[in-house]
Amino acid sequence: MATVVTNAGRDIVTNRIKGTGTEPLNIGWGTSAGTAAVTDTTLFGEKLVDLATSAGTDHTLGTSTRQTTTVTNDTYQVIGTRTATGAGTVTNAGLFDAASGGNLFLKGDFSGIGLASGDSIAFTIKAVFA
Amino acid sequence: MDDAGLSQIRKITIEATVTRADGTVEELGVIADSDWEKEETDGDGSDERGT
Repeated sequence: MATVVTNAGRDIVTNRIKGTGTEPLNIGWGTSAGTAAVTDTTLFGEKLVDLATSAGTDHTLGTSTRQTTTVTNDTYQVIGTRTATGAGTVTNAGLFDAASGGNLFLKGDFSGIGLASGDSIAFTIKAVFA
Repeated sequence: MDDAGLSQIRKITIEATVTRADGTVEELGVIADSDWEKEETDGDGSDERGT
């Protein structure tokens, strides 16, 4: 298992420092197996909130804040909840800079979380600078 | 902050709380963790982090 800021994520960071680009606060999830790598540009088997349908992207707009882990405001945090409208097992998730499609900022894979229709996952995703 | 005064994204975590359709809440805590700080000290000292 791995959790990474992707190469595309570095592009986003430098762009945002220049005051351009779009904030990566859109949450997506996927259902396929794999170990996250910095070269990844997509999730593993990204799915809609209806996990039972074919692949697609319908990212959930999260709420971003700056948090303090070690020193003031050293942490970028996005929280958001995705509710499944069809059953499936979520194996990975990430942040994108668009509501659909877009560029993958960070990604993590994890032990599968089985969801039935109506179940939801509240994600809290943090990237800590140090 | 390292000795050179450079900063980078040092750690990424994904936490999850599952709420079932019947209202049952399952606090899963951290489900994904870059754990870079550990990796930095468990090998040959090379930088194994993802960025």
